Amino acid sequence: MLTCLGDSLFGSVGIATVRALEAVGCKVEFPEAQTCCGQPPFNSGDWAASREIAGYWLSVFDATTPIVTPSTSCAAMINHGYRQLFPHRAEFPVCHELSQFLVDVLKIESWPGQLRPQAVQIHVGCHGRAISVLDQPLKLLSMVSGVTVAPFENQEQCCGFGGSFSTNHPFVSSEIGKEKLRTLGSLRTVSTDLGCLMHLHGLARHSKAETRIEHLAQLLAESLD
Amino acid sequence: MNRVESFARALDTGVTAAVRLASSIKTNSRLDALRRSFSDPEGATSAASEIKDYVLENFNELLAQFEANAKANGILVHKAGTPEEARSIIVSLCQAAKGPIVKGKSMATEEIHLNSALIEAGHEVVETDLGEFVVQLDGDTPSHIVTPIIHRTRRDVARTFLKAEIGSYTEDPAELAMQARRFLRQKFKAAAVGVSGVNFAIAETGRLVIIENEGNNRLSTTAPDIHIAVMGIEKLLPAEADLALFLPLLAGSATGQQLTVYSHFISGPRRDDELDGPRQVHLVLLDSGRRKILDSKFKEILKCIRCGACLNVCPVYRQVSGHGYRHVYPGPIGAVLAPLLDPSLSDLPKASTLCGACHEVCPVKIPISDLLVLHRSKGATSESLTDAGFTTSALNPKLWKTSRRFAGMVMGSTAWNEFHQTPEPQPDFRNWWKSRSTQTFRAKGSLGQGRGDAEEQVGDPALAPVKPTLAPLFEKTKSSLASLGIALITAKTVEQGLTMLMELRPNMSVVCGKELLTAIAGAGFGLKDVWSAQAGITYVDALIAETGTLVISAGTGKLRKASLCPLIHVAVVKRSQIVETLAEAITNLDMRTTVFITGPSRTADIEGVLVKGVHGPGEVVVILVDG
Repeated sequence: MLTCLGDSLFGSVGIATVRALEAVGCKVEFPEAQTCCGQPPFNSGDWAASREIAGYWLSVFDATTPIVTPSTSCAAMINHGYRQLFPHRAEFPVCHELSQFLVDVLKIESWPGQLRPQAVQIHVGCHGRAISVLDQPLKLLSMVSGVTVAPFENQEQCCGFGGSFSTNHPFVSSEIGKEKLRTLGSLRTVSTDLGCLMHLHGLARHSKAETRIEHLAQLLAESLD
Repeated sequence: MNRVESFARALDTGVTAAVRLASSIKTNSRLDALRRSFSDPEGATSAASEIKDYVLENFNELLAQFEANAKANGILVHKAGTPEEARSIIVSLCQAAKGPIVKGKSMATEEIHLNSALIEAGHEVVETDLGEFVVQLDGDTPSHIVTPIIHRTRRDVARTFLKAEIGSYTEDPAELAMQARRFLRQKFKAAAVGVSGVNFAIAETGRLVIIENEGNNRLSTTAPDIHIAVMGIEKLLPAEADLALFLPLLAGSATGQQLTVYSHFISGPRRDDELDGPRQVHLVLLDSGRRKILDSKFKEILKCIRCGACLNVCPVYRQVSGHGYRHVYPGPIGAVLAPLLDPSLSDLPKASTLCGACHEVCPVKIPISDLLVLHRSKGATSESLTDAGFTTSALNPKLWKTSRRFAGMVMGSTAWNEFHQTPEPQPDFRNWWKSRSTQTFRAKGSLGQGRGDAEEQVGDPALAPVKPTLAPLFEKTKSSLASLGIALITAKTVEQGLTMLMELRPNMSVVCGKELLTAIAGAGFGLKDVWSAQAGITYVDALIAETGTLVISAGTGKLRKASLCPLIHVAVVKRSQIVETLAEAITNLDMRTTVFITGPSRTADIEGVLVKGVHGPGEVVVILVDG
């Protein structure tokens, strides 16, 4: 699953995700009819619209093939939000966040690529909490030869994006984001979520600051070059 | 503009900095404390969550059982449907009061705005928790449910105390705390009524359990003749045994301690053979919308034990401070609860990034983010990030492709709002996919082949939980006492222990109950009354090795205030009274009013700086004797 932001802004993350999956022997399919999972209207309270979109999503994806996405928040919507949206539905397909799929499902213990020695920080998308994506991204990142994972201050804190929150509380959202950028400093950072990337890149671009934040999949793909 | 947003824009950046710093320290100490208390903190929170679910499912039965047992204990129970009813019950109970009304920290009394009602009725009301005292002097409101003046600096407190003539200007938190101690001590001595909240109400025994660190709550509920406790009806727990779980869980989550300094088990008014304690204990059971919540999809919010961990970890709370929420219950828990109690606060559920950190740290696993989204689904949708056009295109893949790409380009070239720009769009995925799609095949079921053996792997033995080896009981006790800063004197007999103490502190004046009078006289100590003695000497009922906690029950000829009012508390413990665990101590509890004391009285209300002896003893000494 590519996701809205993958479709509109972060095509490279989609490409990197496919490359990463293929590097460990997966055959990747891309159902071209896919659109959105329904999370944006769900989180902003328009559950009627969300149900329509989620119903469409359920018709597009085939539950017999594992579903993988480079987004903790979209995976959380499918695996957690859909249960709130459809309380009477008995079965739901499982959607795996990329690192969760590689670490928990494929149980990979080494990564085929390598990078020149460097320290990397990781900001795990907050919605991972709803679907137990907690240390899988870190495990995966640690497998990349050359990478040393660096801890940072207040690591567990959200970047402040929050979807509609960034629209109806733009000042609060941006201040939280600036604090995150401060604690990240200039060290290379990877995230598991395109929402965080859009927010942090957007803030940095606004203040004309340099950022070294990208998606975990992009680092994985780079290590294969 | 949303009100939380406009509040935040006007907020002094110093407040955000203070709140961020204090919150981050508390968030970090929380997990350390829970790991010290529980071999499996996650399992402990799940168990606590299940007990609270059980309470909600059997609410009416448990409340009836609690009420019956509380009445049998001699507690006078009053029921208040609304805040107005609660206020008028309490005002009428205080009618004959001749002297100040002293108050321990209580969110329920904040919720019903009790102080203004009592002041209107002509009473002097004194908040005695250090933070709440400062808030009262400032005419401010608390901004955190555990740390009321998290938004204030030591300089603010110093200026407030100077202006109110509490003491001379000092920026030393310890000296500020001592100024408050001296001032408030006079109020406690003269007080006619003490008002408190309740942390847990035990259905099985009808007891009220109150926890705190300063000792002001204990003074409020021990010194005056009348004690009035106010509690939300959701504070129920089925049995005292549940406290072995809930006391460390609440202390760890709230302040990063294994246990708070004081845990009171209040069984009712003083009995005829006891030397002190209130003659009347009243309990006001507050509904104030809770039954309505119990019947709604939001009922899980009633599991809350008011630890404040969700505030401390919340990025929005850290930015806007508690006052940004305009309600006594701020932060994530407030964003769910406040709109249920006051519909004019329906904007609060929007003031969240839905990051879920609140759910992660919640000791009773309240799904706060889910409840926030549920709130949003019931409110206006006008601020949705998406519109009808988005939905239409999301249901039509052809339209979607062009609209998303277009959205990306438009967003990429414009500012998203005054603080954000959108990142530059990257290469399009779908075009890339199309260009290589000839090379890919559908290969259903092939995935994971050759990896089947991975599933048969057994768990890594290195990940198995480590069981600590138990140090002998005495060694464990010694190290727990040392970590609390409690001095230990070991002796063969009580008399010998007291003589050794006499040698160390020859001129110390003391107070004790009848049970120790002979021994004290034998050692040669000078006796004084409980308000002026330097040290109070007591026996204990038990000492808990794993936490260094002294368990002291009321009883014939005993003086509760001896372990409370003087600056030094000397506890005489027999070796046979040492128990290993908190659970063991709770199982063997005396049915009279009992207190658990875990270290010296303390506060961290001023800038998180730890100060000992703010209301109760600042020094605790244990004399361990054979027997």
